[in-house]
Amino acid sequence: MKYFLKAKVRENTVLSEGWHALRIECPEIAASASPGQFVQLRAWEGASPLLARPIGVAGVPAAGEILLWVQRVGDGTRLITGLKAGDAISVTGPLGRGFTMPAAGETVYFAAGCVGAAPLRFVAERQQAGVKSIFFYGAGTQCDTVAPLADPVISGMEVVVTTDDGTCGEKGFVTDALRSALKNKKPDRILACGPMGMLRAVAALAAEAGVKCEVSMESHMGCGLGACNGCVVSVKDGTGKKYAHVCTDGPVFDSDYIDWEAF
Amino acid sequence: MSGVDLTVKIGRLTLKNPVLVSSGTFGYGREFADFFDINRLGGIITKAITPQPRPGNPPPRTVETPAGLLNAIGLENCGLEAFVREKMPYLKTLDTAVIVNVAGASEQDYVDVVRRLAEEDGVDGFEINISCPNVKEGGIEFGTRPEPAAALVGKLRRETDKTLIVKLSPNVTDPCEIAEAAEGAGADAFSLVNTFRGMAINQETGRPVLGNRIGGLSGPAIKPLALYQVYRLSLKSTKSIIGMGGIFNTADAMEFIYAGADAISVGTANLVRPTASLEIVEGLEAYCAARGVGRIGDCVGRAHE
Repeated sequence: MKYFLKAKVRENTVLSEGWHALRIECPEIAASASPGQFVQLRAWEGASPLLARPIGVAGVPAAGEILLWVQRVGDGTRLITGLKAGDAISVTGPLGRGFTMPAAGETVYFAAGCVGAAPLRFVAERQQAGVKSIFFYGAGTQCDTVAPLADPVISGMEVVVTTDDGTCGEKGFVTDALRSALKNKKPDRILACGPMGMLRAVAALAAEAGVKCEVSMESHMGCGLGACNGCVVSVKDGTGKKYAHVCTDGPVFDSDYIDWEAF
Repeated sequence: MSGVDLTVKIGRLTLKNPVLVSSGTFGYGREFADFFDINRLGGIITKAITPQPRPGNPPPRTVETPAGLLNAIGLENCGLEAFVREKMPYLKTLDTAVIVNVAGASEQDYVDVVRRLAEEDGVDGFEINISCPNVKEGGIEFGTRPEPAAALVGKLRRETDKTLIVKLSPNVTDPCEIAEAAEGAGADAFSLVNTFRGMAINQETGRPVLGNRIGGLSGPAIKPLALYQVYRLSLKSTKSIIGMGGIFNTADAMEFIYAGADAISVGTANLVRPTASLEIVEGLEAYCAARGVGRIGDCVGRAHE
C-alpha cells in the first residue's frame, strides 16, 4: 500500500554544512517502509520547482516517524532543508523495491558514498543479530563525514572512512578501501548506494570478486509510481528488455543487471 | 449531494463528470488505486498502446523546467497483446470510462489496435495519438497535415462504433485544419493539446539533456498556450473537446471549460500530487454549487460570449 500524506516535520537538525536530518511524522509510511525504499517529498505550493523530490528513507527512529537525510543541492532540497518543526510536507510512499536483508550468519559490506549512506543506514537499523557487517563510507571531505560518524546506528558498526582529500580516514575513494577488504575477506553480499561513478566501480569490484552486489540507482524521477515511465536505467536482460524503471523495478537492483556500459 | 449535474458528453460517451486523466501520466489506472477510488473520475486515458511492445527512448527521459516538465518517453509500452492480457482485466473492473490511447508507425498499426480492442468490453473509446513529438515513427506524420489525418481517421471509423477522439498537436501552423479534416472523416471528439516541442541543454557539456535530444513540454508553463488552442478550436468545431495542458487545480479546469472544453484532462499534475484529479472532481462540484450552477455543461464556452 502506498500513501500520499500531508505530514508534519517533527525535527530538522543540521548535521553538517548542507546536510540535514529530518524526522517526519507519517505513521502509515513509517509502519510499512522497508530499507532501500524511498518517498517523494514536496514542501511548497505553486509550480516551481514542479516535481516532488525522491529521497531514500534513512530509518524509522521512533514509532510513527521516518528519518530522512537530505543534502541541499538544488531548489527542491533547499526548500525541504529549510523546513522547521511543525511545518507541513507532502509525503508519498513508501515507494520502490528495497535491499535484500542480510540473513543471520552472513557477512555484508556496505559501500556508501556521501548522503547515499542514508538507505544503508536503514538496512543496518533493521539488521538482525548475527550479521557481520562493515560500513565503508566515502566522501569528498571531512565535513561530509560528520553525519554518518555521529549516527548511533552506523557508529555501532565497524566503519572504514575514506575522503578524496584525506581530511578524514584514508585518502582515496571508498572503492579503494573496499578493494583492499575484498582481498582479505569476501562477504556474502555488498550493498551500495552513492554517485553513479562509485556504483559502477563497486559493481566491477563485486563482479571481479564474485560477490553478490545490490546497488541503489538514481534517476530524474517523474511520478515515482511506475505511471510515467520517466525514470529508466539501461539494463542487461536476456529477454531483450532494454530499460528498467528506477521507481518500481528499483531503486535497488542486482548490480549485474545494470548495463554499466550505457552510462 | 449538491445536486450539480456534472455529466458531460464526449462523442458517443457520457462521462459522470468532466475530469479525465491524460495518457502517459496515469499508467493503466492501477498505479493510482492506492491513493483514491479512481471510479470517481469521469474516465481514464491509458498510456499509449502500439501493436508491438516498445522499449522507449534512452535516458534521461525527463527534465524539469520552470513550471514545466520536458519529457521524451518514446511511447514505451507493453504492446497490444500484453495490454489485453495484463491490463484489461483490471480496467474491466472499473466503473468509469476507459479510453485507450492508440499510437503507431503506420495506418495498419492503428487499425490493428483499434480492431483488436473494438469488441473488448471495458474499452469505451479511443484516443488516437497523432501528435507524439518524441518518436519519429510515432504517428506525428498523421498529425501535421490534413490529408493523412483524414485518411487514418476514416480507416479507424470503419473499425469501431466506439468514440474516436483525435489528439491534436500544437506543433503545427493550424490544429483546426487537422481537426476539420478528421471531423470530416468521422472523428467524434478532439483532445488538445499534446506537448509542445522543446529542449534543454546541459551547461557543462553543451549537449542536449534528454537522451532523445528533444522532448515535449507540459505543466503549468504551457497552460495559456493550451487554453488558446482549445478556445480557438471550440469556436470552429461543433465536436466535443477535451481540454488539457497544465491543469493543476479547479480554477485551471474551469478556465478550459469556459474556453470551450466539454471535459478536461489532468496530466502532469498527477505526477506531482497523485490525488490532483480527484481534488478537481470535488472542486468542480463545489465551484458549481457555490455559484448556483445546476449543470456544468452550461459553463462550456462562456468565454465566447
